[in-house]
Amino acid sequence: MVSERNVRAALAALVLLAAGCDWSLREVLSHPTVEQRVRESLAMPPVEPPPVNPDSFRFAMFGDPQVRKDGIHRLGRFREHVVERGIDFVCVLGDLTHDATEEQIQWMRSALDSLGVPVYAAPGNHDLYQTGAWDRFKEVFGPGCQWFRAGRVRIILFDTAGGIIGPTQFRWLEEQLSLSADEIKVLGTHFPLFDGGMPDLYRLASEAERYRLASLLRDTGAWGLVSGHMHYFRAFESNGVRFITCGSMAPKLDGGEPGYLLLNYAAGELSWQFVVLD
Amino acid sequence: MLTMTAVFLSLFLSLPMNVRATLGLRHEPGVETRLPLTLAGELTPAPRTRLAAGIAADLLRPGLPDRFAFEAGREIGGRAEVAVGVKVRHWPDWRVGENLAFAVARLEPRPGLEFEAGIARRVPVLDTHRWRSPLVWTGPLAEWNVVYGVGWRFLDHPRLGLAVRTGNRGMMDLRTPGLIGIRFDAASRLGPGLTAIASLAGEIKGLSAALAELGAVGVELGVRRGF
Repeated sequence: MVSERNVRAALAALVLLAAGCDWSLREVLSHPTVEQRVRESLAMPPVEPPPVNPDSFRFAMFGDPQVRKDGIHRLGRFREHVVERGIDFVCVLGDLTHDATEEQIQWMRSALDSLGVPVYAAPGNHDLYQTGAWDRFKEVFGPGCQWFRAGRVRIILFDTAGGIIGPTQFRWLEEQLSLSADEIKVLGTHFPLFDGGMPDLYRLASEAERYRLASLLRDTGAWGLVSGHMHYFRAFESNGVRFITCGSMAPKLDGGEPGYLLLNYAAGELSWQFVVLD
Repeated sequence: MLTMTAVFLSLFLSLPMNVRATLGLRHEPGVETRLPLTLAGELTPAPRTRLAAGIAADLLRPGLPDRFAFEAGREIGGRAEVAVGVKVRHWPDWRVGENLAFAVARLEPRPGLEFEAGIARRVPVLDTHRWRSPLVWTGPLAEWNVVYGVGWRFLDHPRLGLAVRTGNRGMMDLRTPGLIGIRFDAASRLGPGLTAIASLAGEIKGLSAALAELGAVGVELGVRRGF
């Protein structure tokens, strides 16, 4: 039943699936676990909070800029929006590059630097598709899970690059969410928890893990969870928690128009809108 | 309750049926550990028609049962079956429930080899006032999930049966398609109509990310009795 021929056919199918991508099959099969990545991230120095007017500021969240080997990305046009709309800082929710090659990482770092505002990033699955990719990611873009405060808003970015949260990160999230009763808590990560009705694979894999996090968000009064991974815009609200997929900055979209989530803090309230990157 | 009703009805009507009771352990690192005691029954009320029901309680969380399942299947052409069913699951620690309906087609192209495909409607219930309600079938977080499965019974001896199965549907649960479940089943005849059953299961998370990691692991031991 399991003949050498069948094994070769399965490997060939894997190679075909990865055709056109400069992925390392070795890394796909032997990447650092989420536990390892989270422990390394939590051992890194805390990130610097952005310099904002604590009473009024704006920030953008988007996922999947996913620069490919052709070097094309949408951040040039987004830079104009940063200036025009007075965006104070940016959160990128994973898949900064498509293949995690050194060249693509440097392109993306330069593009993000050119925005002229602080940028915070969480990793996506594509950011781990090379040997040593995680080490380069944290060296160039920072820790995979991190938090910072802007005014009364606590922003918590966490690592779901593998579609998993993991024990250590869950404990860290519980601490983060319970510490901040009087703050507006906005979470950002790569994988959506809920992403509409479509029968696809692109949500956090374990339904128990999804429900545990969803109940934690509900019970701690979190503002919402913003995610990427899917290259389109979706927004749902359940029991006061917003679940927003804003991964629509990718060169190749899964539907809809390219854009980003613009969040505006003023008069003690946080409001949001999806902005089309025309 | 459904299972007990089915058992009594079946005995009363003298319908062929089997009942199984199992004790399991399921551990999903960083998420949950469960010790489910499951009672399930299956009967044949009419030729080529199958009804099955199950109920489970978590012995680590004394209280009401937290898993309910019911399904009905109709055999087609001897080697295929179409089945529909519902599953209701509760997570009392988190006050979250889930109501799930599914339809699947099963095909057994050769004895012991089984394929399954279908679709499920998953309705998460996060509302703290209604999370136990099995009547909530709409909501902003409802989603469709693909159902799939491949099973191979590679040893079918009267004293010992062994099978391996991969897929996202079990009697009491239905995982998201992003989790690949692998389960090894063993069955050994203890006496007339009585069989010892055991299973060892594992999950691989992260199919969508193409970055696989081991998810939940579980074992189950019990007996099956035919009437």
